[in-house]
Amino acid sequence: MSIAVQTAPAPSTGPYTSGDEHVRTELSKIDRSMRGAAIFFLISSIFWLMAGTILALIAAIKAHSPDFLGAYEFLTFGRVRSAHLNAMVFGWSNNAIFAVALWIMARLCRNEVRHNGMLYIAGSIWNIAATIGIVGILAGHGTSIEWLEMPKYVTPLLALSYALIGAWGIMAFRFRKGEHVYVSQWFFLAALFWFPWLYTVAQIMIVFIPARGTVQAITNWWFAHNVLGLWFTPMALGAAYYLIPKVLGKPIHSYYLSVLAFWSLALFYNWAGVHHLIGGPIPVWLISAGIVASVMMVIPVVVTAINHHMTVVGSFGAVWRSPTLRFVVFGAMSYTLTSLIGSAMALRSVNEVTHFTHFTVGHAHHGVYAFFTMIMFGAIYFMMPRLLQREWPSATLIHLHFWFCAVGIGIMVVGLHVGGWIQGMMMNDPDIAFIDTVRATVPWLQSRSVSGLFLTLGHIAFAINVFWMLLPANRKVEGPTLLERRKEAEA
Amino acid sequence: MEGFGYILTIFLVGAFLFTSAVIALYWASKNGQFKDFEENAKTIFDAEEPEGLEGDSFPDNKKKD
Repeated sequence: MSIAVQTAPAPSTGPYTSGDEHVRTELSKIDRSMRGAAIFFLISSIFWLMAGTILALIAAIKAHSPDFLGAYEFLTFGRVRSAHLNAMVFGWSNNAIFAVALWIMARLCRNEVRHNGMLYIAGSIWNIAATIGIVGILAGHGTSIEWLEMPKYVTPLLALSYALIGAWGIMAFRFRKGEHVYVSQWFFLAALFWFPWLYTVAQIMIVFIPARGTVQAITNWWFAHNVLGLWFTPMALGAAYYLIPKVLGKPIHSYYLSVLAFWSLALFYNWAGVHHLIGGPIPVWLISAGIVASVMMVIPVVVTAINHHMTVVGSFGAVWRSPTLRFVVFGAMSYTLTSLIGSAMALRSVNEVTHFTHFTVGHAHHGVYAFFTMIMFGAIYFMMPRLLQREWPSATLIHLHFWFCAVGIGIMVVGLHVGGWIQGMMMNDPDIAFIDTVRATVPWLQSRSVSGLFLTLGHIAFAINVFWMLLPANRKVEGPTLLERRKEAEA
Repeated sequence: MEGFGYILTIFLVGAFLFTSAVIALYWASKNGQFKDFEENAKTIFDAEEPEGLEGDSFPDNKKKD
């Protein structure tokens, strides 16, 4: 407080802290143009994150204690698990992407977001559609197609609202200022085209004009895996390629490698999804092509890992000091690990064990949570102070958020990988009765429920911090520490 | 033969994607996007958030200073 009193006569000249609007320049204007829409998407995403977490806990507990809430038909495992997945994918993840990617895109395009009223309208339609879809799943109207469980009556709404939101991202790119297209812009722009393409093709070929037989299964896994690889992955990597150098204040170690990572992902990933059908009744050449593509993914993964590591090396103090980097670096490290495990799982000999086990479930959470979600958390920690021009209210809550989530997802990934591997080995042994295999998985499934509790606590800490930050009373907090300018001014 | 139509659809859609990726790559190359990596890596910095500025820290670091 004493510092505030001393420095009060000299108003801050920093673009983020200045009360004088003329002082704020280009970047602040861009941030301001995106503020309302980004916060709208962020609040939506947090509601979905909490809803998805509760559904996840119910599903996780049911997996080892089937009697839990057993008297309610809308809470049967099949419905709750699907509702959890859709709440996380279409609710939490997509809203977080809309907030973070559109904001970074606007910053990199160096142009304000115009007519952002449309983003509110489209975002409202998206969230209403997602709500109807998830209630529909719980009501028993689900399609039973993985990752496309929402009843088909919400598809047109989701497609329409996505088209509008995606168009705004593409328009930002179209009216960009500046010559160079930064690698994050490549990632975001490509993903904005990839997602609608995946979604419409899958909906048409599986739900609206269903293909026959195994073509449905091929399309299903092509879609589901590409949502990870061509939607979540590029969005999270684009954010990481922006945030890591940005927070450290030094350019990426090798920009050449980052561009290579983008183009190799763009060219290989599309084929990889078929590895979900190894051993299935589809043409063997197709599976082999999927395996080759999965293994080829080692290239962008290793390239990205080297690049991120070399950028951060020597600056680990900064990673420790920065909430953003803590989450983003955790996510980037998880990306390397989960991708390499994924490539290994695509090998027939490994897949023989891991197929149909909890190993796959652990792997999915490793990717979507430890990699994607952690990077989104980090991006939100970077974005909010800049949009609101005020500091995060509680450092303790950020610490709690990080440690609960890091430990929680760690327990889940280890538990399900180990438990899944044991399960796979037992299932492959014809002398072991199936029920013994089921019994052997129970302790590992219990570990997942424990991890769920950790994640829930982390999410609560995060939600409290965000809503606390949004409180009008909090506007009085001055001199954000997020910029070193403050320290300079004090010195 | 009915299934063949779908395989063809998938193939055409895949081919379309691949072609668009190649066109984008060609455009990027022609447009000079792959020149001067050193300089272009710095496009994320500007006057407000310049290079060399550590952009984020825990709000309680103030007390530790």
